[in-house]
Amino acid sequence: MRLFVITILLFIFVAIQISLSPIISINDIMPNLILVFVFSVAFSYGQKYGLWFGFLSGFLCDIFDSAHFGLNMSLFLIIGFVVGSTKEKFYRDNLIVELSIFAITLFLYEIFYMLLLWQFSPGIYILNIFRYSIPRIIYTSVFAVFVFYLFRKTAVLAA
Amino acid sequence: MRNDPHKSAFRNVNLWIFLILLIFSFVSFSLKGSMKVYLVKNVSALILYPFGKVISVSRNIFSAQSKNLKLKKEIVNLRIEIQRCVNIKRENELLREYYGFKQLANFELFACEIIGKSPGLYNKTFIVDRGLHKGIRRNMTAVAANGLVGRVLESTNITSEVLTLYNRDSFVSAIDLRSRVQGIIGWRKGTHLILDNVALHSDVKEGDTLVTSGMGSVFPKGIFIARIISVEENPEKIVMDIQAEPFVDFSLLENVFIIKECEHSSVGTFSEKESKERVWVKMDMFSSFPRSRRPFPHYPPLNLKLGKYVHLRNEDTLRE
Repeated sequence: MRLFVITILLFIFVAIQISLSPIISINDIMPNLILVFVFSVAFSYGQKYGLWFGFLSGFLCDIFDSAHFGLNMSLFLIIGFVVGSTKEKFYRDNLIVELSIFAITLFLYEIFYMLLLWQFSPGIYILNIFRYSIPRIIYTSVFAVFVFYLFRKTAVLAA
Repeated sequence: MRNDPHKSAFRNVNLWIFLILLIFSFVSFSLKGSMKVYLVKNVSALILYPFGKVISVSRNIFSAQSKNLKLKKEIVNLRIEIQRCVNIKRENELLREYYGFKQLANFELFACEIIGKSPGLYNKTFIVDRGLHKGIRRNMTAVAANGLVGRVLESTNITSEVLTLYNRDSFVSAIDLRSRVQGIIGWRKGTHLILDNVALHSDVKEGDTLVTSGMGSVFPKGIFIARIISVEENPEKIVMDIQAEPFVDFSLLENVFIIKECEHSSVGTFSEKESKERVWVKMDMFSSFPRSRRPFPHYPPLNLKLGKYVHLRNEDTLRE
């Protein structure tokens, strides 16, 4: 049952990310809801779930960005696997801890995303980190709080 | 402490799956265009299409009234503009015929709604609600009311992916409307486009308008792209650093039009009946030509006020 619900949630999150981004974006800064989903699944259910749902989420994203097919797939896969591996190493009930790990994960995702996309060009990194990445991390964290609550408080999803 | 053997074996399985999937992902990323995922793309589009459609419809309902008023005003303005353009187009056709130029192709516009934007952070693509069933094909041009948006990258049966100007894979051959200097316009970073391949000391100024040059046969000629906002000449380089701002505001875009080349244009073309019955001529057009060089010497004497449009019957014209 849980697997089914998470699969449905995966499609809903991808659909919202793709369809609603023009509405919820502020100054072209849109939250990365799929990463919130992958992180929540991996953090709540561990390596196995993180691995598969990270891969599937990335796959669905890449289908709608065929110019860079494989980019999100590999990044979400790594995030799902690594975050899933840390499941038992952190005190999960503390929201601040979860949010902090999430912010670091998102920051690393942005860095590696740019690295894989543009290869080496330091000027662009620094510019984009200040201009886009940090506002995006803050904005996404707001959405993340709701999603984390959803995963904790819903009986079917509670780990 | 002794490790649980089942747990460590389980972990190893996960690690192996992880490595296999990671290799698959990296290989897919390196293959890029050669990797075709049409089937999966179609299935996913089928699943996500209703979500996107419902969201865009509900979004439109809320803003319908204000948009309606705005559009009504625009329609009036555009009708007047079309009337002018019809005449100019006809004149252009006549002149092209006279000079033996190739006639410009006619276009049909498909109105498409944007039902999704790519989840990628920087390289923008849009997903629109028209696909192969409506005749949308790869490399067709996408425009908005203000100018060029991009081109169709891929099409499924019901949706299409539009590669916008804000994408590192998007390059458009552009020409300066004033000085006719040509270059390649693209995007690398930030909010501005870059006009590349323009030799040093070329006649390019701030405020100049860039339009599509028609080279490369992907984008039709003459579509507005961007306005030049900064021009820098670096003597150490052989080309100029030119930045341009697109006419289209990509963050507010909700609809695009896909241009399809066709035999008969839906806008500004005379019907067969109209063509037989009348000819529209802007009288000042041929005034600079000697009568012998006029494309149609049987046109009436040019004694009318400049800029006035005159409606003539064919028979009258021929008689004259």
